[in-house]
Amino acid sequence: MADKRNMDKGVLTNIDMKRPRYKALYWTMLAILIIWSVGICVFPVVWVMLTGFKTPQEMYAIPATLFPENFELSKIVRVWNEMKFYKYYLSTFIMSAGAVVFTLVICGLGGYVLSRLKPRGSKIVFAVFFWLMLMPGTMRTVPLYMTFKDFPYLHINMLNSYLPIWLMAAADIFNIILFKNFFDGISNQILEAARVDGASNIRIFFQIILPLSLPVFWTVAIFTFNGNFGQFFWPFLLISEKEMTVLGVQLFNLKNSTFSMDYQMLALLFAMIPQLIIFAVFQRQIIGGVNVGGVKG
Amino acid sequence: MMFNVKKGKKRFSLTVLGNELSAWMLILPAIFCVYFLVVRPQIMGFYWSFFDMHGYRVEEFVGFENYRRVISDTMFLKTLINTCKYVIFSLLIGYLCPIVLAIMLNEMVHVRNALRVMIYLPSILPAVAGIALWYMIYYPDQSGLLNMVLGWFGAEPYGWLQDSRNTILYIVISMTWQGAGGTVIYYFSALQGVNRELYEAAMMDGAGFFRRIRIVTLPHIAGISLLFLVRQIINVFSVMEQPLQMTGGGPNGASTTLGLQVYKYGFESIKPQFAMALGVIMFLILMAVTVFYFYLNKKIESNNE
Repeated sequence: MADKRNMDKGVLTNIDMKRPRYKALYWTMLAILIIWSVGICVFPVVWVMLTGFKTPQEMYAIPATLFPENFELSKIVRVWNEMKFYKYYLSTFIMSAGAVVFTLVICGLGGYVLSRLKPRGSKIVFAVFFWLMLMPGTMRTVPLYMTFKDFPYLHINMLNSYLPIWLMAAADIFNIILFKNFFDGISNQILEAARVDGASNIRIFFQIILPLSLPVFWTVAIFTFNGNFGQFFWPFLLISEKEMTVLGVQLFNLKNSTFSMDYQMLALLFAMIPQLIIFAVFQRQIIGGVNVGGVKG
Repeated sequence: MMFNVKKGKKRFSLTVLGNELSAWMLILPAIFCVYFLVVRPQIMGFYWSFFDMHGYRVEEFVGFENYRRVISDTMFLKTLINTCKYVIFSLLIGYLCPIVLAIMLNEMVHVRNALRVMIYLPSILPAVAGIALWYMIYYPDQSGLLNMVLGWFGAEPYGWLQDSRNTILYIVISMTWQGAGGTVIYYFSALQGVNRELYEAAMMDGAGFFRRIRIVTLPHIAGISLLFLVRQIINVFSVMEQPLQMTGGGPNGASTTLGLQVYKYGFESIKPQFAMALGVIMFLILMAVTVFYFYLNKKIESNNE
């Protein structure tokens, strides 16, 4: 353990830890962290899971119990079918996957141009993008809605389609700048070699930049997917077609439905599960992605 | 050599021109999206806020009439105060909490990764799921988590979100629950970047744990904590989804925010001109905060040099 502490970046050192005062401090902090993470962060999620398995009668039993009397796993299947969750999963998946594709291609290419190709005038574009990113968008809601209702010049009505969501994902300036910053670190020599071989700009992007930048593509893909999977406001505003309702909106609608509380809680669980799986699988990329994104003050 | 990589003037030739054109073609989709979904709505939102509208159709120029109507609305002042309450509560409850957690997490030798994952957990859930979860935690009858706990102590179920005195506080708690984890991870990675020699030097001078944190750790994270302060103010000031989903702004307007009011003007009472005027007012307030941030940030940076 002593070796481990030396590798660490903590304030307390080995010498400190020999003193009882600091030992007590260390264990107090550990206790606080455990109480916080288990009791406050994880417990509510577990509670929803447990309560979902209760019968409505059990929920109102006095005194209330934490654990359901019997875990009937078939209830999950029943709720899944009755609430038609497969439908919402499918539409939410289409919406989120489309957003990922739009982001990776459009923001990726944008970052590539700003970072490596730098045509005359692109510096201005970068500066404008950067300032726009900092600008609060509080007055954009209504004009955006009007844009989707009747797209300027083209006069296309985009309501009741996922196109607005996908385009908004592509217009995420933060991702363009994230790509640019990552591509800035790629060595010029490889690119020059490819250029001398006569490769076109777009080929260089797909054959050289993309394989060399997989971490940033993964990070953006995961964050975009996650962000869109839980979208509520825009789908709520733009999509009235029942067949296209997404998970986030359905979860909101459930509050005014006739489904009992235990059903609603299992539904909530369904909305969390994809995210939990993604997090379990891509934990490294997600926590590492925080560093890729690097908030620089 | 056909491609002059040296910095300086690019040779002007047809190949270079073709190359530049193809480069612009590649960034065109991004520019298209940003123009139509960011730049144009921003400009039009400002411009149209001076016009009368019929439904979503722009009619005639009315000067500051929309602004006058928005500000003289009886709810305006209350909504503005509510919004400030959200910001103040969220700073009191949620601002220090990630910093303290990150500092403690940074000290841990045991089970650190497990703690980190658990603390991050609420932040990976979709926002709408977090909101629905807290809606159930606050549920006014015995099926809610908090009332269940109250029941164990023999207390009557309490209305939580229905209690107009504290609705904002309860919503802010739920926001903190969901937001803190992500912020902890950022602070944590900043703390990992502190040069250990600084701690050792401070130790040589006889500085204890808390003094070391004050003179080494806190200055190191001053920049990022200022950034998070401003980001939190800006995000909470424009909060809309939480009250919309948890209380609908009620009871009796007690938890309405400016952001929610924009939504109500824009999509419930279909007075988009008021929504845009109120949006511009919010924009001006937030710009002032942003400018103040750059001023303070410059100060911190010059102090560090």
